[in-house]
Amino acid sequence: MFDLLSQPVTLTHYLCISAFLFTVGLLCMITKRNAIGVLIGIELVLNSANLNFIAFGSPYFQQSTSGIDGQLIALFVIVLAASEAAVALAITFHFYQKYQTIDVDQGQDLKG
Amino acid sequence: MNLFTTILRFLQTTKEIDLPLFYPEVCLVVGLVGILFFQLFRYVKEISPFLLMAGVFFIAGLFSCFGLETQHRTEIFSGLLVVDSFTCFFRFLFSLTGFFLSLLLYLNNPVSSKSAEADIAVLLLGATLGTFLMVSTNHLLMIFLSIEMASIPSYLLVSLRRSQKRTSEGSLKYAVYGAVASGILLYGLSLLFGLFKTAHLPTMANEIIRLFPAMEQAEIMLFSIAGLMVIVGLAFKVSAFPFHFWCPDVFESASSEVNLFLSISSKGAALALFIRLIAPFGIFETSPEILNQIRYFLSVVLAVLGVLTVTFGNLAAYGQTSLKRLMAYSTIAHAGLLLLPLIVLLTALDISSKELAVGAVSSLLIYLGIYLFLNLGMFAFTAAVCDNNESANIHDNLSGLIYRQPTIAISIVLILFGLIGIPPLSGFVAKFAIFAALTSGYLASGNILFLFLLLVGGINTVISLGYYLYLIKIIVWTPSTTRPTVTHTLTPATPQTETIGTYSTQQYHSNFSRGLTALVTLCGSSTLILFLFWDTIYTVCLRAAHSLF
Repeated sequence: MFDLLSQPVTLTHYLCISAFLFTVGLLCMITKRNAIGVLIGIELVLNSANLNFIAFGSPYFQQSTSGIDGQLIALFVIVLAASEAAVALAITFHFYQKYQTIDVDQGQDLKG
Repeated sequence: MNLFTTILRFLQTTKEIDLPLFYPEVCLVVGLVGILFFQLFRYVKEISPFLLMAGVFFIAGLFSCFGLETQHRTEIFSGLLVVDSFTCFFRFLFSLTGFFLSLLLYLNNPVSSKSAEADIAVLLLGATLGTFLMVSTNHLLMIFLSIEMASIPSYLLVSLRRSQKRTSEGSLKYAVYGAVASGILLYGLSLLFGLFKTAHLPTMANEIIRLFPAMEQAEIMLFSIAGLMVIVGLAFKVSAFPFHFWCPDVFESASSEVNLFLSISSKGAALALFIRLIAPFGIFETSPEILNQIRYFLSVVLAVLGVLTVTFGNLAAYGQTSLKRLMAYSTIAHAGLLLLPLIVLLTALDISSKELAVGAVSSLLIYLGIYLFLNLGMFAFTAAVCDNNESANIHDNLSGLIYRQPTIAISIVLILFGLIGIPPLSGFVAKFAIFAALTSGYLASGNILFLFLLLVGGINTVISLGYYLYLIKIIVWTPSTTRPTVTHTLTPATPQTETIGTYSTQQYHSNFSRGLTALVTLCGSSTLILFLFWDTIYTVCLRAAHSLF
């Protein structure tokens, strides 16, 4: 576990990077108040999951029965992440037109 | 040559087996492209896109009718999707929702321009396509893909009334929270994929049975974390308690038609996906006790979610001044009640009792079927009274409704009694089905948890009485504060002394078109009709539930 840096690259390395990305993305989503910052966090989380899928699906790291499912899922996720970002940016733009800010905390008309 | 024959065989199975079972979805896609295409032509353009959409949903509903009774479990598209009567039931339910939704949109048009109408139609068809795929999913990829296909159009649908300021706030909150939830869901799915090295759900269930007894502590931890992440993603769609916060904001800012879609199609599809994920644990099993631990864990999580959701939804509905916000909390409470049969399902798989499992699933199905008409009436009503006014305030909109619009007032009172679950109305059948499933769960397993759940359900019905009856009281007894002419007819000696409200009142009058009145009346009378013919629906629900196991 502690000598990861001196070892040849294995599945564990990929999983560590992906877990790191996930944590950073989650922190980014929680702490950022800027809508763009939150969107960046979401992209990080999606990409960390993507990295997981590719690493788990790779036949070089472990005996796998999943064929190319992992890689395929990753491709679809990339497409969906792009469309989700497009929609979220459009909505952010609309928000900006109404409120003159993209601080998500500024929207306080809905309460109760 | 080998490759060539493989491709040929693949094409042949696609054409002969897969596509006929996929006709409802194909129909939606054709309608979606068709409505966009029709906008290019001058004369076809004159037809309202909403009417075209109603036609598309009608045909999709007809196609899904064919499999409603007898469709056996068939995996299509090399195991990505699965079609059985359960799928067909939900397809039919969502087509019905879509059909009424189109009518409601046609009668109470929320936008002014023609091209915006086409946009709404396309988005709604796309979102319904996503919910169709959600209920037939059989693969990790399809879980994520279908949830996103249903979610992304609904983010846009929320911001449909672009002129209002708070609309943008609601849709931004929905989009951001929704994206967070789907990101967490995807990470959970990737962990599941890595643990069991397959993405096909039944194969995964098999692998779990094979691998679970030999798993180390760390792996079991990872497994439960992955499971919890998936549950978070789904609970967000159902709007279960800790993940419900988007629901009231979105419901308040979105137009009523979109609320109807979110409360029936979106939540129903998420519940169906829950069942799709749970059911494989019971199909291939040879020695049931291996998975007991997993099912126990799941049922505890679901019980906590369900109890908290239903209690919170009902308590928070008190003190709401906006009618749409109150309805949002009411849908949260109903969604919480709908989570309870899933616990019975888990117990049924535990003791491998097929009968109990079928009873649990069918109680959920009949609840959704009846709830559709209750919610349709409620949201058709809010579409008429709230959407065209800036204020959705209960007092301004409802007081003295019985004097102004007696037909509508009576229908709404019937619907509200239905939502409570008073006996001679359809809501009673729905509530009774859920409580019956819980009771039979207790009788079959002797688990004290079910008594507790029954108690919570009963208490919550009493709590919900409070705010529904409050609405009824305002409709029936509170004199109209906003209609001087009515006060005039009641007390001719003192004209207009009771006009406390500051709203100009003439606009309320014109909002109820004849079509909307008919729609609300239809829903009101359906509470009685569905109560009389509940056994017909129940037979269909039983068949649909049977095909799962």
